Amino acid sequence: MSKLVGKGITKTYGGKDVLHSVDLELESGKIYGMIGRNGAGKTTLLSILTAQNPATKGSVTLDGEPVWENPAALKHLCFSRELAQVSGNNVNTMKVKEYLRIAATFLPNWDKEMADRLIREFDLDVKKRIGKLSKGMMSMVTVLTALASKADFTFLDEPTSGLDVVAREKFYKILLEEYEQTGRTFIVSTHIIEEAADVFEEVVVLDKGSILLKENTQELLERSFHVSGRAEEVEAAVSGLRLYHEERIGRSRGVTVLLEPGEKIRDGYDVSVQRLSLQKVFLALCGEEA
Amino acid sequence: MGMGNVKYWGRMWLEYMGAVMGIALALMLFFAGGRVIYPGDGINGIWKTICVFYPAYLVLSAFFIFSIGTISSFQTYLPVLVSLNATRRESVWGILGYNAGGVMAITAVIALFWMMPSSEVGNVTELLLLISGILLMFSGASVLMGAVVGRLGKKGVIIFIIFCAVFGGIFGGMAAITAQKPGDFLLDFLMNFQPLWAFILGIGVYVLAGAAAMMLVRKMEVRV
Repeated sequence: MSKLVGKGITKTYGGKDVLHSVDLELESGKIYGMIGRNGAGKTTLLSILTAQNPATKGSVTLDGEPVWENPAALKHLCFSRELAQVSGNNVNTMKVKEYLRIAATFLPNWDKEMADRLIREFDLDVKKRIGKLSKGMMSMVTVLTALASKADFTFLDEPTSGLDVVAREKFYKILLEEYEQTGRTFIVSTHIIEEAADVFEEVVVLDKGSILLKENTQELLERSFHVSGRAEEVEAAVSGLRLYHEERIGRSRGVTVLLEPGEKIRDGYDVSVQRLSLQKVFLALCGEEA
Repeated sequence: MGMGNVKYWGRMWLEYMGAVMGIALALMLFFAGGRVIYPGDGINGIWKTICVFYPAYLVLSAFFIFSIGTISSFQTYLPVLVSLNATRRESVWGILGYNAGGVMAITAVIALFWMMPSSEVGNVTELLLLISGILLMFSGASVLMGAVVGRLGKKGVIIFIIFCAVFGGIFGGMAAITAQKPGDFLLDFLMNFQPLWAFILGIGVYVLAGAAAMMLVRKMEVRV
């Protein structure tokens, strides 16, 4: 089993830490979801894990081999970056077909058949310049590149941003089909948590440059509860537990708890205990609306 | 260097060579069209004329295409290539390779023209050494500027503009001091070089510029 390991990754821009000594281990054969608010450091972390940007401190290895400027390790990775409509001499000046030709040249496991099929399925105009594409079409180029790369570790940065509901459904369907057929590892960063939650085997929550948790999604949801009721009843039911995201309305109180092994919400109190969705867990952990 | 890199930059080299030769032809037809230096020699005179003009425009268009192409390679293509798993090191090798390959190819094409029986150009070897040396120096400067622009972004573009302005200012000033047309001044200036030394200097500048470019892009951030 392959492992991509980041140790003590720190990234500083203009004297400000964007990532604080992040440790992360990604195993092959899983779909990871990386969630975090804007500016949490998701893209920075993904770009460092794939050697696209250097870390200020720390290291990234694939099965013990450094990935930085190492073609032998890089051939197992693909980070399909989110394309954006920015002016200047950049990828936007290229035609889609030129971009895909470069991808086919440098990604050693490029699946041309799959790329052609996705071009047809997404109805992508490859003769257009990337800068002239709509946001959704740009996302399709990102998705297409990632899937056709056939890389063992494939990273997608906000792949569904700009896609309509139909295209998003199609993307998740193709992603799962590909995962079932190949067992490739996918690491998907996204803001749209709810619809992706079912797809993620493990979730990595990043907040203000640090990893808050990395856990099996199902196990996380099984230990996450919202406890609400009269303030004193809630307080008694959850006493001794670590509380997240408290809210108070008059004499009522609601708290989120993530139970650790051996912990439980005390019985015998008049409180409502509800399971949480991944989005609600994220809200509780990061404190504010996603 | 991986096969993908060789394939990619080899294709780039072919495209640039096609552009250089095509533009040289267009320039020759546009600026020298109809002028025959040896009118009494018939068809042979036309060939002799082409042997004089085409190499000159080839060098001119090489300056133009390779400088723009090299800077664009660092600014636009290198980040895309790195984002698609090429390494910075092999990308710089690719850029250095197609530039050096371009100089060699242009020198070879010029040599072909000048070695034709109808050509009346003398001291071919010396001239070829001089041309390839100067092209290498120019390519080296383009590689260095490209790396600065690629590494520093907008600041790099400003440095590049200042560099061009200073270079142009010095060149124009010296032409003015010697009361010559810029073209004549450039020709005199170049002809004062010892061909072998120009060639050696060209290689030296190219190697140093390549090493500096490697250093500059060593930890370049990728934002595509």
